[in-house]
Amino acid sequence: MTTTRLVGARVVGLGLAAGGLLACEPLYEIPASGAAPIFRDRDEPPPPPLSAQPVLRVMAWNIKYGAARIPFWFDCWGDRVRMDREEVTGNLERVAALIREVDPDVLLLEEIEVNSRRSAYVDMVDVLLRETSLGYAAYFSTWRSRYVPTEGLGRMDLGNAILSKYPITEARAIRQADRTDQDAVTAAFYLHRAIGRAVLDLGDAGQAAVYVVHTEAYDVDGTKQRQIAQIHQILGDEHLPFVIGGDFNELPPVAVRRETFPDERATALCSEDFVQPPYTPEVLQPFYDDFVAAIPLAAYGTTEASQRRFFTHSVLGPDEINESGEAGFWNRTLDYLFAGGGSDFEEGSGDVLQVRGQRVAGDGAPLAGDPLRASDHAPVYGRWRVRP
Amino acid sequence: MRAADFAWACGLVAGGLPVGAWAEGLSPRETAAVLPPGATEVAVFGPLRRGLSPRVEVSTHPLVAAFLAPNIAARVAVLHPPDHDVSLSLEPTLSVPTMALTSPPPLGAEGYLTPTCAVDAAEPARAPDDCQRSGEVLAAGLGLTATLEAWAAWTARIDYTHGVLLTGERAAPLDAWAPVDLLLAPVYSTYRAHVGLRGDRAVTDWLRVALEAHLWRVGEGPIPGRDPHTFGAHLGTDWATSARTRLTAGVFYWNSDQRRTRLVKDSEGFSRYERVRSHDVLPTLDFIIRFAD
Repeated sequence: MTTTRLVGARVVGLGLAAGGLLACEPLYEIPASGAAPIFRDRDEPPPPPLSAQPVLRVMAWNIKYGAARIPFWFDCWGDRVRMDREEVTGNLERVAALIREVDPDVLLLEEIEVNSRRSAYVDMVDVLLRETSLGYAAYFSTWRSRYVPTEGLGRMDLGNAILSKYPITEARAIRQADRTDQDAVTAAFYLHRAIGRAVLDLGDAGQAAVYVVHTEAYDVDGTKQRQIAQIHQILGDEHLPFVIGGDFNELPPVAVRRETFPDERATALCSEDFVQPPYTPEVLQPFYDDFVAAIPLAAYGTTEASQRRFFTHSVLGPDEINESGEAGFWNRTLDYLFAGGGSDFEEGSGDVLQVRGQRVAGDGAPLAGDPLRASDHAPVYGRWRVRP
Repeated sequence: MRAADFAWACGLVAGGLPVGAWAEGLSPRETAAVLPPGATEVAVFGPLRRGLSPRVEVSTHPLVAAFLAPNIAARVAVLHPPDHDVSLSLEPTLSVPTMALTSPPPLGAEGYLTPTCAVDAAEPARAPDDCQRSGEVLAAGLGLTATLEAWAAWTARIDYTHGVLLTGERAAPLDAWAPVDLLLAPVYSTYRAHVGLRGDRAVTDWLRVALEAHLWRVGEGPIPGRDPHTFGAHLGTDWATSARTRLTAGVFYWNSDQRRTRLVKDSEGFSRYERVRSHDVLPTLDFIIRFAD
């Protein structure tokens, strides 16, 4: 960020802060740890009763706030700052259709918005509750501001969510460390990451905990590493069987390619704030040591070709090309599912939903939906064996 | 320097200028009255006004006009005392408010309130329709103001401003704060219509108190579902600081739909979002000098 821009940001921010002092709504909020709202779709019939040792289909997906493959300015391949309502509802319908196809019992979503200008103020939690067979949701806001003075972003309410067929009896947000490499004004208007935890009532199977996370992407001060370590520590203290999923913004410890991805620009066009810092895959090793991954490290193999099958992210979609003329395709793994507390995943059930026509975990009908065009992240799937 | 000190210092300077402006007590403001020919009014935040003839004055915000938004307004007296009890004036206005929105910092808001469009600038062919910056807009308005002096100066005003798109496309409203959104409504929401009533009464020779009520309606932007009406109220005071200077201070309140929501819980503990209106309160402050040739 240039000095002029930084000073400008401070001036604008302070001006907004001065104006906001007399308004009834705060300019930005820094969510504290505490209870999170739980929503219910009353039209959804109760799910079938579970056995004492149920197997639940779990899916984790970063849905890019319903933007599908629209290149936003921070992608550095486009200039978009907001969508029309028709774009958002159309994209969300494709997201919902894929969810209906997979029919998860528990769905972990990152980058979901409930009242943001850039996504036409669509309440995505409400839409996905209504458009899927999931009847309960907990929402964990991580970025709430009356007006984000960056590129005209405006009102923002982004977060993570847990949707479930089974009742959510408790939902709690656990604050994560904020970045320390930003000036105070930028930091105030930036995301304030949080771990989302929900407790499910599984009937005869008792209770289980579900976590959703989305750790930092662009810090250069070790924030992401601290956030990942905090998540690991909290899971270590969990007393219920649990599953955790989300976008860790980190490569697996066995990743062959660790830099120079095909959708990185040779010369950054957008702000330096969105340059990818070096990955540190070793920070995920404790998760593989202490918990059960839906996709074990051994499955990745030792070549980029074998690991490609489990890539979950690409900035560019299949209808866009990079500076060398190559169309976008998944090029790195950032999203994961882990289980613990005595629970695990059915062997071989872990999968990444990458393309249309794919059979999820080698099972069922070919996917009719196209994950490659639904978001810049692919869903991760696993069948979770809950062992109370 | 505090505002009061600044006002006092300016008053000292202005006190040396010829011609007393309100030697017979502070005159009411924001009325249909036109400045006398040759009279000029300068303000820190308000416009620079100049009386051209007994029936015509022109005004502009010179600094804003030079750097951010070219603007000019006129006031033409249709009826005025002593021939009539009621003053009535027409007020045409013209401005190009988009200049500030599409200019880079430090003066412009590009990159903060509006997109930078860096990719479009470097690679116009990559995403030709992706730059969501507003095109240039000419805001043309016409107002009608009537004032009746009876116990207080009662001024009613009705005005309409339309944003004429000169280039590009119209962008979405900022949905930021009521005063900002109202100011830029011709740019983002096509039009702004307004009715207002002001009562302005002298308490002493050196103090006036004014109360205003306003209703605005703006056009619908590309994102539906927002109440286009804004209500406003202003309580203001004018303090004479010399024979031709005054300090104005007050507080303005706006009630508008800025897309705010709040969580409400039902009896079973489940939540839902409910749309609520926003309340914005801001202080008003200005220092005004009036002098003549």
